[in-house]
Amino acid sequence: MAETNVTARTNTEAALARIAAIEPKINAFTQVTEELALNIADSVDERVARGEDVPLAGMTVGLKDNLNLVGTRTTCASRILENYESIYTATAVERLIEAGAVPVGKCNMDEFAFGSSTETSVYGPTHNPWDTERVPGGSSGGSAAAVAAGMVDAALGSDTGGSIRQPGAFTGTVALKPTYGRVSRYGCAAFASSLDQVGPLARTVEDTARVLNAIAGHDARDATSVPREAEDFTAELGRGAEGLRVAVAVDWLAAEGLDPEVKAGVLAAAEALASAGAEVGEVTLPNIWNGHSAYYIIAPAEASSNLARLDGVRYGVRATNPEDVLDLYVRSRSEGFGPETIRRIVLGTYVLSAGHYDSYYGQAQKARTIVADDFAQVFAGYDIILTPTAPTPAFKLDEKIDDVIAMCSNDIFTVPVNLAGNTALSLPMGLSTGGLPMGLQLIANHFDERTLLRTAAVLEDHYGFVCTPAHASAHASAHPVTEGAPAC
Amino acid sequence: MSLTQKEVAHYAFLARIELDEAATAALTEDINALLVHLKHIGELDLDGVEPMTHATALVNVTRSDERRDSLPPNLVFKNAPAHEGNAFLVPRIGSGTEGGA
Repeated sequence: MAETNVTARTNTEAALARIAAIEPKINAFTQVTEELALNIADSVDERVARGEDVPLAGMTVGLKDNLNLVGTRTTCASRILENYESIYTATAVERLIEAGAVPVGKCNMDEFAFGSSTETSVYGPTHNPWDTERVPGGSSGGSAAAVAAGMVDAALGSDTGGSIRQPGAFTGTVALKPTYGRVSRYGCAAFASSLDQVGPLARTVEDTARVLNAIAGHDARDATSVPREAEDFTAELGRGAEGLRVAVAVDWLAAEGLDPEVKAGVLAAAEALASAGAEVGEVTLPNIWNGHSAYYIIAPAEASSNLARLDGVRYGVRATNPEDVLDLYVRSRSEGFGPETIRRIVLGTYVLSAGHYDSYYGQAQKARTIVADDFAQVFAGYDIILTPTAPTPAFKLDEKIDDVIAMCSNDIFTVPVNLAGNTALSLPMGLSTGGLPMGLQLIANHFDERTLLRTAAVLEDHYGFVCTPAHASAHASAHPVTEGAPAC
Repeated sequence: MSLTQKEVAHYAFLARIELDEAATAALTEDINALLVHLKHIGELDLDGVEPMTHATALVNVTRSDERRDSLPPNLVFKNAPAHEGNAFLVPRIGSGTEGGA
């Protein structure tokens, strides 16, 4: 940044101006924290002036609104937390700020991250910058839309069953779910604790890697965070495809409802990698549907437990004039949660209840094992698996909101990765004939994000995809650390 | 199997949620649709397969038994709907109704 005239403050001011201009069409944010952003930007500029190493100096970021940051509300896009003030800062956010990034606001999401379209937010739906009649995906739809529309340089989301990757696919952004345990979950409101992982969205693979560099690493405040040496996730970008072993999940490409253009895109990606020197083969991971069912038992079960804490006592909305403490619990929760959240809580309660536990939750935990075994067998012989991220490009607002099976089928290719704990990335592979982005999912073995990003970089060069959504046409990214990257 | 509205209302109440009749009917329809989708999981032959509770190999993560600072009371109570001193205020406990804690 020192070599340019751009400062953290000027980049932040540009982002805020852009948000002011575009946000009415997109609704990507639940709150824009201008004063906090400018204060952080000024402190970044002071650090740069002092000669400190500030790797993300001035990079503007959006934070999914389930990530705590002191000075902001953390609402989870729910009425029950609409006035909740963060009392501590999430580790991933703290590390991002330490690296010089400037949070400009909190991003819209499906309520408590339950959804694939960002339509269940109490703040209303986020609109896809490529076509505002369509959803941006979910649940991190606000984060993805903000990045795609050039309102921020990057964003953090959380991914329990595809909630970073699927919105990445729908908005033409690069979206990474790190290996479970790679990034601290401390300060990220829990949905399903054994599946949740915080990760980045950006417009380039390199920016994605830079953000991961900042947020990854052990955190004693999260007991599921895995102690590992620090790594530079940009180190293998540019290394090419020579020697990579890439597998196409051919049985997944036979899934019902898969758009032929998306399928063709996955096959073309395999050919491109082969041309670039990778060894490409075909594999099957036959437990995809078992994994999908296991996910829709385990995730609601964990969610029903995690959300029990919201009872109108310690924080959150409290029902008025409760008769007694039971009335307080019941009315606070019934009035505070939206329909999708209630659906997941009640389903989770049912599958955990006496008489149903063994046939649902117990079986789902075993099914999780066979899903993980599928991945382990493939990764014994391959580095990367290629699949679609989502079966189709972005669907229309209201198209699936009343059809629970259609909505949750959107996660079919993403949830197995969360069950197994692997890392995966959605990369834009071009536009459909309808002009909408399509996402390629790359999956790698546990803690092999470097190979994942290396492979994604090869394909990024191949595609030359530039993120230019129609409803964000005045892009002028002033991002100071990605000179040469496509202006999005 | 499919659940009746009464059963759905029961499971909702276990989760301390009460809905009106129309919302219960809609929820029952949705949950039954999901249960049809999930039913096959109970029919899989998974005898001998170990259940998986977690995706990492971490076991018994503990920390040293040393005093650490915790959140100060002013922050702990910052979002409390009602509190007095260092206590959360709640209405009277025990009403004699079903499930009264």
